[in-house]
Amino acid sequence: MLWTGIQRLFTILAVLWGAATLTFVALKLIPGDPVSILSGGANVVDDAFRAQLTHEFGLDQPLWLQYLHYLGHALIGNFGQSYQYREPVIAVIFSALKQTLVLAVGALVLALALAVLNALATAGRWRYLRTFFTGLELCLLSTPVYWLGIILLSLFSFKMHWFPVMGNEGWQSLVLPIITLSLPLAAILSQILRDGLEEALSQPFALTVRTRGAGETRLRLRHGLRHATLAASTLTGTMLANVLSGSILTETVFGRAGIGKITLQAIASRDMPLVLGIVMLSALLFVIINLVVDAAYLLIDPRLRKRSS
Amino acid sequence: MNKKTNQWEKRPLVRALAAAMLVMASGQIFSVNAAETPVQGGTLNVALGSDTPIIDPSITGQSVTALIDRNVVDSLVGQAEDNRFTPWLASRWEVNDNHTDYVFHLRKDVTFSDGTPLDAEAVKYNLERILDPKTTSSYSKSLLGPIKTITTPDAYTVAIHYDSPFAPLLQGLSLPYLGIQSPTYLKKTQNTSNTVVGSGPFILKSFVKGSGSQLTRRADYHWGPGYAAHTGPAYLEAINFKYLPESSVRLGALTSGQIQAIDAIPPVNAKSVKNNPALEVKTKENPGIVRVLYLNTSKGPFTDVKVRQAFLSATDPASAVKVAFFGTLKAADNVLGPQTQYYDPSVAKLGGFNLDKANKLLDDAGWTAKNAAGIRTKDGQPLTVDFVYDPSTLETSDVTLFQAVQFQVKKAGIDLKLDPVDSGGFADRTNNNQYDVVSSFYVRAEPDILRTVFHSSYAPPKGSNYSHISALDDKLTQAVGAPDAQRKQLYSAIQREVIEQAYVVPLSVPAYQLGISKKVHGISWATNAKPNFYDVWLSH
Repeated sequence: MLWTGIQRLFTILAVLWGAATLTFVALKLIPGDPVSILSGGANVVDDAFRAQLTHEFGLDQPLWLQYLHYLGHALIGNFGQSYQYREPVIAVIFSALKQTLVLAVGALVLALALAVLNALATAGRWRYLRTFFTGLELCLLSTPVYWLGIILLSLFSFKMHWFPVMGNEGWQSLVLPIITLSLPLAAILSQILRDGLEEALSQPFALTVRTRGAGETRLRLRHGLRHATLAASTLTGTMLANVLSGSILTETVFGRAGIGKITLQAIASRDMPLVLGIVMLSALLFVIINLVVDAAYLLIDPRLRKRSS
Repeated sequence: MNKKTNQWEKRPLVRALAAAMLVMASGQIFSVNAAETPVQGGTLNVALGSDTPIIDPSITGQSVTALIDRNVVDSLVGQAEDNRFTPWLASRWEVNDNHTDYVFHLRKDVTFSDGTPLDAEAVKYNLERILDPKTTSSYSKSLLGPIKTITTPDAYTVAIHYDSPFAPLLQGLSLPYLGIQSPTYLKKTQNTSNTVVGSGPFILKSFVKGSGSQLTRRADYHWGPGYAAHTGPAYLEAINFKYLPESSVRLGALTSGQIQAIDAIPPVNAKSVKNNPALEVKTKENPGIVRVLYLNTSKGPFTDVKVRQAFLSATDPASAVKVAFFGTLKAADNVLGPQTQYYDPSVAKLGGFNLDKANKLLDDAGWTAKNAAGIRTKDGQPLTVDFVYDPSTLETSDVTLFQAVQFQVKKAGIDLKLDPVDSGGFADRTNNNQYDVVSSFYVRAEPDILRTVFHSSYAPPKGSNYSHISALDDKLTQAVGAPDAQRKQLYSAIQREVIEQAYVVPLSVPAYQLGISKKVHGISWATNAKPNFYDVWLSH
């Protein structure tokens, strides 16, 4: 058990180190001078300004030293100052993460709820309803989030005035972005869950449960769902990580300050410390979420517990 | 009984009628009044199409920062829409004829919103902070020029001395980028990128990058700029700036009445906003360098003046601008916009679309053969020029404009290759001189802006001399500090030469467009073509 723990820890460190190194190399390979980009708003870059910034950013050091510096600092959680924001990277990421987290978790919870309801209701029965929902899922999956957001806004904000477009505060401003983000997720989760559920219901054990007199609802909730959840939980983990780092389209439509937008801007303006910070954060999130999903497997499926011990 | 009921039935009707008439009458009176007497209070919600990472005006050149901070920081002098200077924090000032000595006499009743009084030391501290390389100020510092000393002869007098003449100082000082912040706040704040404390009519309550800013009124404000329409506190209780990058969302929020003003109206939608009875479009043309194509004179085909002139003659800005902007912007006829000081209208006739002239010039320059695609060639090389641009700094209409130009010059046999890159790529290509054409515009009412665009010491990466010109150095340097009449002459000559030599191809005169609800009154314009909100009020 201890050995497994140490192994896991090493894997995490290796993943983080790999992510950091790859990003460093990639950012150094693509052309672009951060000092020039930074002064984009102004049309003058005087020599003193350039010298000062180059020195502050440590860009006057040899590459290998920059790399070591960066790794060393990253190890103790210090990612340095963002070039664009002139603020510690950690502070920039955390203020954005607060915005994104609410959105991502909200959307995922809603998506899960919708998917479970949908799958339970339509798996292997009510043919017409099932066809309708699978069709709807396909539509939602192939609809650009961007467009979906604008449609929802025009309808519920501009036409019906239910939800304001202004303001980053208050639950009202969260409703539409969460729905926008969750619909495609709900669609994909529904399909996975329904497939799993339908497969479980066709297994011999389902027949056994039925013969013992259990009702359809009980069968689906108590027995079928557990089987279907296995595949869905892996997907949910990946989704959460994706939504956390990639909700940029939704953020753009709704004018929210989140990780997605910051990432895009950081890459475009070669904001090295910020990009590295974000990559490390995403890598860490992926690792943590995978660990949680692995643990969830054991909870969901008792067979796995026996195998691992 | 019957009669009584009748009366009861009639009375409400009469009352209702009377009331309705009263309402109508009072409504009329109100609307007449509305045009004259500003109403106090209310919150103005403004949606902006762009954002800024930094709100401290001293360390950024972002125009959104200037737009928001204009309400938060005051300047030493104000500049009215007609380019004349008015008192503000300085009630009067003296400048010597040489433009080397400036003396400002400050108002004595001004306080910053943190309670610190404004005095000469405060001004000195602000300017010296900007000049200090550690502050990493770029644009603000360039506005101050080569200051030699800043002294404070008494508590309310600031004297600025230059060794070499510097005339653009007053205009620079009038911009928010040189707005005066509280020295107490500056001294105790390590990182100023998220906050500003000034003496302006509004206080910055919050600034969230990527989201927006919230401003609240300062009740004791009574030192507005000389160009303002009123004195005393601002009318608005609060202003909320919200960053909404998606134009259809901005537009929807405006038409649905959730917000009262938006900027960057897409040209396609300008007409629908204008036709909406509840809305109107306010436009202010940018002063400064118009949107131009810089032709790189240091390498490739554009080293030949004839090829540059041919490109200029082959371009028809009027029709290109019409296609791209649906009549919302004007075509440019000079390197400077008409709103710029010392703009010379006589330069317009030097350029102009003339395809025959373009063809003749190219023939003369030796580009006589044509390849299968209709592109001229010389010694087997096609006349292809590489146009590097960064789409993230452009509106979609700008790209349409470029495509229109591409189509136009092709008729003369020039292949304008559109080459979109990201900001990093753009910096890389311009710094390493790997382009034939780039495009930009700069907002500034002071013609000294020409120096950072055409002086040889501002070749990229130091500035915007994308055309790589050194022929104008003497004139530009002389014009910085010459007496006013001579400056006018010099800048005329420079504008003339820029067009005659076809260093740039002027395309459009950019403008700031504000779509507003008709309930918004009193919008005026700063000389950087940004709206002023100090005089703005909302009718109910």
